[in-house]
Amino acid sequence: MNDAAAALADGRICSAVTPCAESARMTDTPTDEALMQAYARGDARAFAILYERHERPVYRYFLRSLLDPQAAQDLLQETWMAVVRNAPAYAPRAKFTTWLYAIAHSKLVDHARAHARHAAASLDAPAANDPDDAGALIDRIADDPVCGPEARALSRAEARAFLACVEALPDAQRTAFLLHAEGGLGVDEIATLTGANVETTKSRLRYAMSKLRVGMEEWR
Amino acid sequence: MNDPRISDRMPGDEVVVHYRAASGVVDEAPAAEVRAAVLAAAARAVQARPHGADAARPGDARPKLHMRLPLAAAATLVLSSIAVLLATRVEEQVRAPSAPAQDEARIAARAPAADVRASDVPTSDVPTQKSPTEATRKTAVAANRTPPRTQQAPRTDAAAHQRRQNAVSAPAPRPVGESTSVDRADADTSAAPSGIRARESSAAAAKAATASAAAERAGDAAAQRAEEADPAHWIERITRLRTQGRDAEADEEIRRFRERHPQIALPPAALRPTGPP
Repeated sequence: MNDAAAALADGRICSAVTPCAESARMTDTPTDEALMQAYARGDARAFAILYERHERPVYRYFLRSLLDPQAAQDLLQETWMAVVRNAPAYAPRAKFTTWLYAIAHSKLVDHARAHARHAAASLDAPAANDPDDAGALIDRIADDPVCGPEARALSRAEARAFLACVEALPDAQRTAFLLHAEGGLGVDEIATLTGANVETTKSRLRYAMSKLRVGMEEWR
Repeated sequence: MNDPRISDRMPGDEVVVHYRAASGVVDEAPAAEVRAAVLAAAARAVQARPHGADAARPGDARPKLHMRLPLAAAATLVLSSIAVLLATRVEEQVRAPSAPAQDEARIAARAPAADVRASDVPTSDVPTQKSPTEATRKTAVAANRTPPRTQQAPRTDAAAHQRRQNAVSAPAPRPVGESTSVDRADADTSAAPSGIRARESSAAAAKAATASAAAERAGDAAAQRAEEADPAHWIERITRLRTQGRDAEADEEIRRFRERHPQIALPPAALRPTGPP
């Protein structure tokens, strides 16, 4: 039994993060927090498990935001290197994914600031809350040949078209959606992480959902 | 919000499910090199902080702390023992040179050579009949001319002995009539065989170095005769008796000395401080 499993068994981690611990007891798999603590104590296998769990979601978060696989890989590596560096100081005060995506989001903001296309201001632009802007996006998605009905023949193409709709979202909405869809973060966590208030975050998520739902229903 | 297409439901619904399904179909993954680099860095970080990893284990740090105190105490004991041993050894080494018997015997064994050289000086003075001050200066120069460092103490004894001898052999101004007998006495003294002079010198040096009163009390008749043949040694012995407070013996010696050498004046150090006996 490794450290993570031992910590899980005696409830040291479970008491700190109750929902994760409950689910861990039910599924008998170590939580992210237990794995991270095990890695902080020197268990490299725990880190491998953790990385396996979150590698692709974090990568997709970067890929959908940047539309650049190479930059997404670079940021992915930087994010996990930061996790490695900060592992000794890790304390399970919140979900591991909140901590992980906080690192990832800061890397993304830094990258956006360094590149003109994704300016930092645009990530948190309140203009995305404008319903008119949302309507225009829906029109844009409908006109996009990738998102449009022409691409619905192949399921793989359908998937790509839907993902193109995600990538076409305004930055703030896309970020909120990706943090929710990939990281499983709630509205409060996303608000804290992005520096926006809860209502704004909730609005961004609703707009993003509604736009994607339109795009999704067009394929049905 | 007025747009009917926007659902009031919170995220986590079918859109997210559809998004995850689409991501699964596309199967986007980073390059294997990224994974290898990250996992290698994680393993390196674990190896680079073994102490931190040990400290993170509850209870592991305590035994180490408990082991430090006995180790520190043992080290302190060892160091203090070494310091005491060193101090004892140094003290013994400091005390050793002052051990009287061995060192005096060593000095006495070295003495004859220096004494022989020093005692040779007056013999060359006798034929020329130099003045007392010249003789004193010459003996001092002669004494300073042969200064082997290891023979410091014997040389000092020999020089002192020589000065005393010169003081006796070159007395203060006296009546003209006495000069012949004084010269004769000096000539007798200096005319003694060199073997006897060497023996007398070595005996005097040994006595001066050891300052042993037992040898004087032994009453060796031959040695006493030889000493009485040399007025300087005799006066020296009288002076020594006087300084030792053995006044009765000193007075007796003075009486005998004056019988034997009536022409030689005794130095004040050999006489009683209050006056002649």
